[in-house]
Amino acid sequence: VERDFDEFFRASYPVARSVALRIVGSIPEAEDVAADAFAKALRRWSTVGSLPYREAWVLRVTTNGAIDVVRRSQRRRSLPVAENSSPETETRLALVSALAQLPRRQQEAVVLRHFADLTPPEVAASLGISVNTVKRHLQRGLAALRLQLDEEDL
Amino acid sequence: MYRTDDEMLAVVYSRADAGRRRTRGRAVGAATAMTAVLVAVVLVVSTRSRDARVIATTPTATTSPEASTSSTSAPPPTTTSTVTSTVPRTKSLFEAPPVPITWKTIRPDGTMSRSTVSGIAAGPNGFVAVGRGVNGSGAQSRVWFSPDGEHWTEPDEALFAPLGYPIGYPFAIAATSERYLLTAIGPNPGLDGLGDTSVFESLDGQSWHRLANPPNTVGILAAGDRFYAPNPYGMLTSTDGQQWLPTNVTDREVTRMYGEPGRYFAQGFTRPNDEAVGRPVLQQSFDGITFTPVAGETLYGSKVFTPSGVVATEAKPCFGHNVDGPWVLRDDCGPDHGYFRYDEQEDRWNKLAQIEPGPGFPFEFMLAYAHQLVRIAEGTDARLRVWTSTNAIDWTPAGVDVEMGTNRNPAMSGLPGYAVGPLGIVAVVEVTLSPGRDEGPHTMVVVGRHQSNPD
Repeated sequence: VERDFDEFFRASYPVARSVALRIVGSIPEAEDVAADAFAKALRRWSTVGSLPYREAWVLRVTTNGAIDVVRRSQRRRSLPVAENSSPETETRLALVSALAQLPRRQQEAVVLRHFADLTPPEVAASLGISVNTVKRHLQRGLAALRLQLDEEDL
Repeated sequence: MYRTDDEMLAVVYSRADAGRRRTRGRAVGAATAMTAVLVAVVLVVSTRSRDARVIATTPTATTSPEASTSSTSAPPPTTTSTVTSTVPRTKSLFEAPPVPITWKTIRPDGTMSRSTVSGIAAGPNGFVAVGRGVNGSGAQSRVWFSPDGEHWTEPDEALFAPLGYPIGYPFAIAATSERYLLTAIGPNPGLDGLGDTSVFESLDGQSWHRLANPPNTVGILAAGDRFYAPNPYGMLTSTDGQQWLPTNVTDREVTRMYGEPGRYFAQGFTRPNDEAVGRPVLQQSFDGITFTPVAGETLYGSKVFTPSGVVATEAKPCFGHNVDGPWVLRDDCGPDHGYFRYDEQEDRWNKLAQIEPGPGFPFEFMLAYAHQLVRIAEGTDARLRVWTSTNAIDWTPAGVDVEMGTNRNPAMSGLPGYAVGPLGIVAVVEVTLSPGRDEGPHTMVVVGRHQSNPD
């Protein structure tokens, strides 16, 4: 079990950390979130380890954990965003806040496509759905994000 | 500076141990350096667990129709439930009165429950679902057959196993009243996804053979008596799966087909002049080969054929699509969800009723069965519910309420497919409950069948 998990970790952890970093914007927090996700996977490895989409599973756990971190951070600062935050930080926080409002499938598709940089066929394989379904989720998800962010480009 | 993978792996084992209260020897080596981290992690995990419980038991405050039905009496998703739905007959779109539908929510036997279903179709002999599951040491593509939507078997595992994970990604499945076709994408699809496609045919949903000359396609769709094979450059059509003819759809990416014999709708995207932002487009055809754009407001949701005309659901066009680059969105998005009926003479969609905007964008679809409309929707509260209506205005809850997991739960959930045919309606639901309530994600099936012959 440990060998299988270790191999999985070494292959997937850099991706999960990268996804978390793009959401939380800080290396220590990104490492913390990604490690938390893998710990959850390890605790349920008898189930998660046999899933065909186990990397997607841990990426989704990472994403949700990262969003939670940002939410807590926003609550602590009584924000929408901190006064001294950079435009980039504000954009990221606004994006994450909007992302958290999406249905899970859309959220997962958007994160895997645009945060983890997977291609639509890879997202489809990860989520176990067709490419067309992935595209529909992306269309709806990005439409919703656009409505919330009210910006020219994502 | 990143910590090394070995350091992080030690952290992971330590956290897993903290969560399970187990002792693992390998955590000891990292204990000294990670003591402070562990304390913080335990606190964070504890806080998160409390947060998750609070959210899971707090009713969602919303005025949307999705939340108007009771969620507290929903059946546990690991058990079977049966309810019967009826709808009043007022200003009906149908010529005959609706036949009550009996609904069952079941957890299918066999491998389907523990697999990822990616598509389902209703054909001449029953339902066929496709997806991926685990068998022994590895995962593989799977095909299931059911004569009634309730009892599922795998007809020919050996035929499809070599195509499965990790070398392929999920099948697509479509059916007419005469046959079933499914596609499998192999390990080398290429940039346009056309490099490694196999197409299989079955007349009964159980015995399959691979077509020697498959169409150039990335998937398979069906409408009425026709199959459609879309690809990034156009779309082919066939009635028998053997002879494929090109349609005049050449610059559009079709994602859904709707139809009945003699009337077809193709729904997808177009990018005139290679503009970066794709535009949703709906086209119609009377021969299934030559399509013309439907003018007026283009609707992106489900299309349903009724005796009173074509009815559609969902929103105004607002989605952009760029095949080769980042996604960009158009400016005319809006939460203007509703039900619409197509006016043939005026070539436009007339609104029948508004769908009150709810939180987020629930995934939903609409179909016609037993002289009534059926709306199946996943709310942002992660519950699947069903309504019926004869007029697209007055909707009656069908008594189906499936808990799919919480929004904060990161595991799989969704509506991977649905199918409707003479034998009934089948909707596939992915369910994942909070840790401790179930052993993990699984598949549920919602089956609706008329109580008596509607014809």
